[in-house]
Amino acid sequence: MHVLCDEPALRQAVEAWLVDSRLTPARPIELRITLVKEPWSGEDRRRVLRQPDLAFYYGPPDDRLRLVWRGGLGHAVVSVETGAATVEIAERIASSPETWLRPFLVLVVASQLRGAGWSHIHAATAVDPRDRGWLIAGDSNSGKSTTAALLASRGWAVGTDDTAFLVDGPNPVEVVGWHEPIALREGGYQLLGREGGQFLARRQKTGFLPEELGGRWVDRVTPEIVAIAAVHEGPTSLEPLRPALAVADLLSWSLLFVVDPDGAQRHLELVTRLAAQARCYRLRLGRDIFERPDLLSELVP
Amino acid sequence: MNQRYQRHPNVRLTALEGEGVVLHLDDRRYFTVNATGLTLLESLLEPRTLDDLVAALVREYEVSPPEARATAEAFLKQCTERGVVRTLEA
Repeated sequence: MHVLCDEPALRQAVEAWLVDSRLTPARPIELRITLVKEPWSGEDRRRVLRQPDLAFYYGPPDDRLRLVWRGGLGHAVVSVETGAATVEIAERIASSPETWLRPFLVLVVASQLRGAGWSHIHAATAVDPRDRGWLIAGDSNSGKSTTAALLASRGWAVGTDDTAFLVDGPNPVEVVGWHEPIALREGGYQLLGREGGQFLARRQKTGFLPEELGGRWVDRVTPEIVAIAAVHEGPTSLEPLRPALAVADLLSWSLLFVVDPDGAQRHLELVTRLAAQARCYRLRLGRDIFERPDLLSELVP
Repeated sequence: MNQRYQRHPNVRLTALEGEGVVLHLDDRRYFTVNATGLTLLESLLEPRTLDDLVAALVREYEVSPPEARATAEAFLKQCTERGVVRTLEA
């Protein structure tokens, strides 16, 4: 991944962040970053998908995606075909890249990677002691990160706690994880019962790399088990889930980049292949998992 | 009676173990359909009349034409209301 920027400090910060991610896409991607005095305030009349802090413009007559973050403080245009991105960062936030690298530039990079056949999904990935690959999908309060941290502390290999990419290629589907700290809210941090960690001020979370918890990081996981996770009050349980329902759930955690008809079909087929190759479960996470951390692998024969 | 129907061009469909998952790109809604719904939506890739759909169900499943007609009519009603299937001008 190549970063072009006239500001050496900024370029180094972004390069270091990308190196830390350990992503190795099959084809090079290029980020061209410029500092601008004022936030982007242009107009785009195409279809728009609005998320908290982000507007995502797409569709004809342009094949490019436009991402506008926090009212234009971050602005990017990504070519679907080539994966090249031009990024504008407002000067007022340039000196604090921790505020925009993860919430904004991750999405720019994810947009670029679509062209390389990588499809973004919010999911955790892990490999259990029996060498079985897991993909655990769910929303930001589903217990993915706390579970990933717990599993790492039991010696599992963990790829990511949230930012994953389904890789389009020969069967089976592989999932690439973004190497970064597993980010725990205060509740998860307390449940894990570990000292230390890296305080992630912007996110108000505490981060641990898998290797800091006694596990290891793994770049690619081939899921044999897909679990759609949610926290609940009762005991931890796994119930078999029909693959079609798993596909529908997986779609809900990966809809951001389903913006063009061809890309949507590719993504749908990729998610379908993933559900077909794996055993799918509805995972209800209870607090008992902290008393019996090996419960997850025990629940799956 | 010659009214024709077709799947909306922005609907994407995938099949898995006899069920279907439908994704509508316009509003990013998605839902699953059973085997009968999958048969009908696969058929509706091309313009079809109600009679065509009834024939498809009778061919595929052990159902009588009246049962197949009732199923197809109910499914078309749901799908047209959701924008998954379009009614074509005669």
